[in-house]
Amino acid sequence: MTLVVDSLVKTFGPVRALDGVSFSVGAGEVFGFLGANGAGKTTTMRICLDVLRPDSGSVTWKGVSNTELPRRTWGYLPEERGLYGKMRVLDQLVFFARLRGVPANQATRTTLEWLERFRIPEYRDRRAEELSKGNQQKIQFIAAILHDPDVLLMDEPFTGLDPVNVALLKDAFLEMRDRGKTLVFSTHQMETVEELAESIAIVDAGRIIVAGPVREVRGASGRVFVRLAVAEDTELAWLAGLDGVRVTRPGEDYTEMEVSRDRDPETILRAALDRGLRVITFQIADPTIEQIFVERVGREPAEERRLAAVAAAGTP
Amino acid sequence: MIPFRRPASASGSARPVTPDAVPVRRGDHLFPNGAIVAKREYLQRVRSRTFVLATMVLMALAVGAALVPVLTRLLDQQLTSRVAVYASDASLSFDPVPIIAASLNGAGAGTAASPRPVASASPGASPSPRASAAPEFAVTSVTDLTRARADLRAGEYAGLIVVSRTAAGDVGFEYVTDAAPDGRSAFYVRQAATAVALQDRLDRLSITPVQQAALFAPMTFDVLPKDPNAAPKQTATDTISRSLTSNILVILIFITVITYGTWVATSVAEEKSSRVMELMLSAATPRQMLLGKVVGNGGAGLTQYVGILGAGLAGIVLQDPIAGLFVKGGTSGGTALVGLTPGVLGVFLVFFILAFALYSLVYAAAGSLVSRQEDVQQVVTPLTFLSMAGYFAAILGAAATSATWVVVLSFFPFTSPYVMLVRVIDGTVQPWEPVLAVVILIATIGVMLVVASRIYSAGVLLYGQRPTLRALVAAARVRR
Repeated sequence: MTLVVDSLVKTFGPVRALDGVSFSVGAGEVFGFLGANGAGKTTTMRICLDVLRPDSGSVTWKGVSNTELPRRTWGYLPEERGLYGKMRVLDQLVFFARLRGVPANQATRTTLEWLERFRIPEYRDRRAEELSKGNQQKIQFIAAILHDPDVLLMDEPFTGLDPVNVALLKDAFLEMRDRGKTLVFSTHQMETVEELAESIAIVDAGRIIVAGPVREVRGASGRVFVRLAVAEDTELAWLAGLDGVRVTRPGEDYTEMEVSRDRDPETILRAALDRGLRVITFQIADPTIEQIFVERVGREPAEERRLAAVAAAGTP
Repeated sequence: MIPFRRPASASGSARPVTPDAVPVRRGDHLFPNGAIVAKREYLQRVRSRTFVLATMVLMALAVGAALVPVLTRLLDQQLTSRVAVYASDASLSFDPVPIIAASLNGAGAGTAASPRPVASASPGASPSPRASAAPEFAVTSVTDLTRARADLRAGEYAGLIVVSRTAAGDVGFEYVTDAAPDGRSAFYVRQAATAVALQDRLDRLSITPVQQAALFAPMTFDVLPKDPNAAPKQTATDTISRSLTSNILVILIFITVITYGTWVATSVAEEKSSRVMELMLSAATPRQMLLGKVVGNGGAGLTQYVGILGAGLAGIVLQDPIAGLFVKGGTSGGTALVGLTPGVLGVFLVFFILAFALYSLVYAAAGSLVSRQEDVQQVVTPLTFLSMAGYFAAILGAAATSATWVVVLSFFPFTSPYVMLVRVIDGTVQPWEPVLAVVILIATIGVMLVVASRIYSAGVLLYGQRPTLRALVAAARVRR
């Protein structure tokens, strides 16, 4: 384990934003940090960056305290996106890279490579404020990785993007993983976590609820789900008559049900075949991260924008 | 549509891992990050449209101000009145036109002695006529009276002077004009007529030119102080000029603090409202950002100053060539500002820079407390008042530079740049006094740098609410 977050406590006036947050991330690992807004994700990241100091607890990277680490160790994609609106894209990115100790010519070269990669080389001399939101986010992403940091902290990296840009950013994200970077990202989109993260932590009200490798977290619940789709019937009303089967997600594409522990999931497939139905999908699955989240946190990972920034910044 | 979930990404154990980060002590050094921030601030400010426009307008104003004397003379020239003199019937033994022209245009001595008093402080020095100024009256001699009267009515002349010989043998004058009988031009013409009459009478009394010269030679006249040991009193012009000097310099500091201080505060609030602050904080320390802003914006302010001063100086240098093009007559010497010695200028520069440094640190801290740029004005108003207090103290204190409150304020860091400067210009300070004021000022800047960084680092992450004073004090005490 190389990034170790140990028992962080941080209070803002009467608000206890972090109440003993601990987790660790292996080098080169992709780590998903889950929680509703205001749960403490942004505060944890800010403490990692040493922008905020915790009341107690510590953060180390490869055994070195974060207060001693050079700033270029970290790449940061803040949830609140922001660029210098009146500054040209290239100037801006070179500026941020230089602050982290990258020589200007090298920063220029890398910036141009990334602009090419994101298919926006023509924006190098545009002012940031003239760019669309999606393109600004790409610039912001480049700003986070330009200095080749060891650890990337990304707060809601895929929020507010159209699918094309999400795909582009995911590719870049995975490339950083393949380059051996350690990636920590927060999100409230559970599918993204399942797609990208090897390990996760679910944080709620400043406490870690669940943490560990995704497969372990999902397997440890002991719950079993079955996904079923048959030709020409999307209702599957007959499922209601089966003991130990509870439909959790009816749908046009497939129907998902939770199967009680004492029932063999395969009996459901048999029941479908007995009815002469043509089975298109039959899948036995662990609960999704979302189901685990709802089970453990007790509510949906609903989004409450703004609140997070205020709560994280705190009331002194 | 097959909803199989994607396979989990491959295990991370086999991936290449970057070599361990070198545990370099993460420094809060001002170089290079402070300089990088300063450069950005400077370039952004200098390239902004408002800066370019404001600087150009101010430069134009400076050139204009420098050229005002030329303009005045040009206007004077256009206002020249043409006056005709008809003296054919007066049988004078001399030509009255030069005497009238000289008298009308304020020349002290012509070929004849002038009855007008000659102002001269030192005996023996020849009275200097307003040779440089363009003549206010152009005097021409006419011989055809009928035609002259016609020209007068046609507006060719502003007035016609008819010189005649009275029955008693003396000279008589008629001044034909539309001007008021008690107006300025009638007054000058009467004086000119007096000079002509005097010359005529002296001639008729057979007083020789040598005797005439002796008659009107200036005598000695000295003004002495009551106490013979007292230092020579400042002349009235000197005193006025000295207070003008201190007024100008104090206003310069005041404008600098207010304008460029607000730039700094706005620049901080801008980073907060655009939310680029988060990214900045992950790249630079608050102290680096703070100092970078102060230096960058201060540099931009200096650039503007140099531009304005340069334009003004160019205007002054060009005064004479331009005057030569449009205005007949020689050069005009402007009044130098008394008390603007190189020493005073040096003291001014020191106070100028220190005042900006101190105030802009406070302005930066203030800017970090608001979330929107619209709120900047509100939060900097108390600072404007503080600066104004120093300014007024200096203006009022200039009349009583040895009063206790003036002396105290001349050491208090937020007012000393104004008040001490005025005392220095007044010339009533001991040499150690400005030195002490500067030392106090520098020490305060050092303290303010720490306090402002702390308020700044607490303030920049604060969105939404205005912090209370207690929260600020708490923030200033936290070492981060």
